[in-house]
Amino acid sequence: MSLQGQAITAYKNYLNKSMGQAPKEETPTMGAGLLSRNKPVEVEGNKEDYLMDQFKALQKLRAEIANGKT
Amino acid sequence: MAKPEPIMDAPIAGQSLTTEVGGRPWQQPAKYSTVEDALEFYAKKITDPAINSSLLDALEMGTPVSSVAEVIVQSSAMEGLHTIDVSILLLPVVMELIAYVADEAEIKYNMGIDTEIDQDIIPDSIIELAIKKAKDKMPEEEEEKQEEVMELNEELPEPQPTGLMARTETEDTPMETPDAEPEATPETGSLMARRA
Repeated sequence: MSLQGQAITAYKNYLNKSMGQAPKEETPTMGAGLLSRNKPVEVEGNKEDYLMDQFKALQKLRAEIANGKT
Repeated sequence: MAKPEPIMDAPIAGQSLTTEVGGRPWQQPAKYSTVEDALEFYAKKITDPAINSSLLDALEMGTPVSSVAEVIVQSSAMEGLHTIDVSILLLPVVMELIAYVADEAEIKYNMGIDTEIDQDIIPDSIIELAIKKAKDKMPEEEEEKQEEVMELNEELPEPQPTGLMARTETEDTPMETPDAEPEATPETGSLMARRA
């Protein structure tokens, strides 16, 4: 029971997966003001993987550091 | 004289059964049964400045991030914090987390997924191979070019003079003379006209 290079394979898979996915599109809603009851509802089946979500968030943070935002 | 050591250092068959069942940490139910719980645990540990100094030292010394991540998740699995399946699922996110911490600390690190190639240095073997390939190609190309030139020469029509004094084909042919009409003998009906 020892890991021998699985990290590299898994990381590459995640990178390919994250790059291959289309960005989320927010559907515009009419009259989406503060008092409006028209709130966008997340479509079922469009839910992303929790780990992929975290992975993308970390990538974004790293990119921000590289671009000198933080 | 030193005693010869066995070459193979693998566990003896059935060695895992020498202890009581459940005596090892990984034989107990995992502390973090889901990836969410396990990732929360790692996020706290890795981003804690009091703990991650040794981790950053290892990265600064050139240890790849992939190797560090593997060691971390494997040791946690051995301690019974989570299963080995969870550790494999977590690996990419843990790698990204470590890279993020290193970025924040402004440390140069190696992810371990790509080997850097210095493109300015070309090995001699590659240069020789390229020269050999070029030499092998040269005669074939020359022969092909010559064949092409020959074919083109055959296809081209003979050059014709285009100067002002150049003879054209129309001049060579004899001029056609219009058929002369037989002269009509004037018939005179005068009195003095000669008669044959």
